[in-house]
Amino acid sequence: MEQRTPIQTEKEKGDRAGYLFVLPYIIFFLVFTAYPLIFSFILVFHRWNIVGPMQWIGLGNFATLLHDPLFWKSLWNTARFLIIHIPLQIAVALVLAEILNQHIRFRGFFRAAFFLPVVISGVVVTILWQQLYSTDTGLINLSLSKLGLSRVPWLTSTTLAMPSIAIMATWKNVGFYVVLFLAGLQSVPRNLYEVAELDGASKIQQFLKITIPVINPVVVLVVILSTINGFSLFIEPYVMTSGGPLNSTLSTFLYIYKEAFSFYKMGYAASMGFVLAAVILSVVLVQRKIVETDTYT
Amino acid sequence: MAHVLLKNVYKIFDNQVVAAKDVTLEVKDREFMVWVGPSGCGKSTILRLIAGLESLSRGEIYIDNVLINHIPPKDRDIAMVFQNYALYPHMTVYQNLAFALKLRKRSKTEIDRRVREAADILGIGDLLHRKPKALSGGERQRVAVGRAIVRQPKVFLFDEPLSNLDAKLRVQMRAEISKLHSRLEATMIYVTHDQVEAMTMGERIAVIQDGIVQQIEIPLNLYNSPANLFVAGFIGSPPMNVFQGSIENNTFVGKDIRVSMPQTFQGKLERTTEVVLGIRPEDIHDISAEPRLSERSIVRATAEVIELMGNEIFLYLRKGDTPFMTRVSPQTQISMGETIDVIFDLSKLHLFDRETGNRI
Repeated sequence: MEQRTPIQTEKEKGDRAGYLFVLPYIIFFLVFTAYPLIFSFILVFHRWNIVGPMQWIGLGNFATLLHDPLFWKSLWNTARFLIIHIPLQIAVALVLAEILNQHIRFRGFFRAAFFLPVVISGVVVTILWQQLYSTDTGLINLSLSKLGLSRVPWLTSTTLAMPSIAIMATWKNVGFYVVLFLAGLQSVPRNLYEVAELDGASKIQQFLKITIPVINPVVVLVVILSTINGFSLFIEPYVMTSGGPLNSTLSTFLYIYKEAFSFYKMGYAASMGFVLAAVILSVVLVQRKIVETDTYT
Repeated sequence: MAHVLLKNVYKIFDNQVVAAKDVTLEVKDREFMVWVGPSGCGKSTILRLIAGLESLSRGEIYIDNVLINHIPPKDRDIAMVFQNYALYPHMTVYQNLAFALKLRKRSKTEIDRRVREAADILGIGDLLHRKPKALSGGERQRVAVGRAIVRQPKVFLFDEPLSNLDAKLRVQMRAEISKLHSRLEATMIYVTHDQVEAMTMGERIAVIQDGIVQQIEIPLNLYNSPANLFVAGFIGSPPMNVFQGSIENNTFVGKDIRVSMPQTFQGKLERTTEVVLGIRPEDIHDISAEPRLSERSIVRATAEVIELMGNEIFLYLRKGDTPFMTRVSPQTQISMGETIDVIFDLSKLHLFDRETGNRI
């Protein structure tokens, strides 16, 4: 026993150092993830305006939510956004990644250029696009009128505002997905294309029948990530349209924010947050079912 | 079936690496030809030139007398088997085999018949619904070969197909590919760095080094009369013993070894005096075994390393500063540091020009 003691002390020392190393993350997790999560879960069953005391209302928030047309509209708005944004994002990212994976000139420059919007602040990008989209002075409309075409009310039409935001969001985020797809493309063994070429597959057939199925895990990842990111649509409508015109760009996230910090309905906002999380989870599960193939089993 | 001809073929990569230098060779109809050489000698690149996966720098390639330089790979009617199998990971074995036929818009019944035929030949009939990940290395290689067979191509190209398999499986697959060749009677080109594979499988062998074809011969001739020092050293395991020296009065004089040259060499030796003498380990005999040799030369040497192989002994000897080795019978009584008299079989000597390395 006496001989073992120093070994145990060594081990304990190692353990302590290990805990010390993960401590910053654990603190971060407790303060910014665990605490808010638990607190908002408590909020769900209360009415609270931040300053006053909390008032227990049971499932009252959910009852309100069920009959709140604006909540459902905001979900529908988000869905409209996603229906345009996700396919567009994947298509553009995949095509760009495929091009950037070829031996083209200035490849490094283009790779960096497409990634740039991802790192630029969302507010900056949004203000920039607000200018581009402006009905009277925007660059896009100026160009259109130069070409003799009529001006398009990009952000002021209830039908066009959300698609406009979806296009902008795609431009902003596509670089990130390009990087993911690039990594996927580079993991496809070159031999597969050589065999396919000898087998008689054209370049397009190679892309559709070899590339896409082989990088399916990346496609799944991109679909899920862009769905989750898409559901958290906030900065763009907040800065560009404040949810207008006529609430046509009011995303669920923006609605939650407004209820919480404009009307101080913290309990109600928290309830919507949980419902939204459940919606996201179910959408992602369905997506996985549809998109994921058992490539490697 | 087909006949392949390479005429003055060059391949120079952008970084100036020369992978093929004036390669001219002919693969006969229904021949099984092996290209062997050390890694990076250019053999795989030349194979890829035939497949169309690399572009020629210069020269001409013909299949059945048709120039194929500018014909795209898919129209060359060639199938290739890669070292890493290159199976489509997302397709079942069946789909892997059927892929090329589907692209060529063959009927479902024909595809099914050909896939099952190929699967039967290779004994992978019960794997058809598995995906590559669920297969062993040997099974994957079979599928890769099967994918080539279903195409019924003019030419089969094998690029080191057995290198990723373990030793035992390699021996087994070696025999199977040879059998396959006699069954299909197809033209096959087989690239390997393994001289045992080359010797056992090839009807003819081309030895390649630095992008240059060193010698093309049937296996035994390659072994018995290597065209140059490189071939002599590359073919045969353990390799041929070589001694630097010169010829004086019909006698080879090395640093520590003197051997009188046999009749057959006389007359050939007037022009060259600086030579390399080669003799294979099995042509050096233990004197106590009393070999009956008409022309012989006795050398006394010290045993440095003794490797017992069971059926024979690899004996590493040294005379002065000159090391050499011999394979002797397992009955030979010798221990380390002892001296032993060995006999060089002079009828089996090889002589090379020291400057050019060519056989004299």
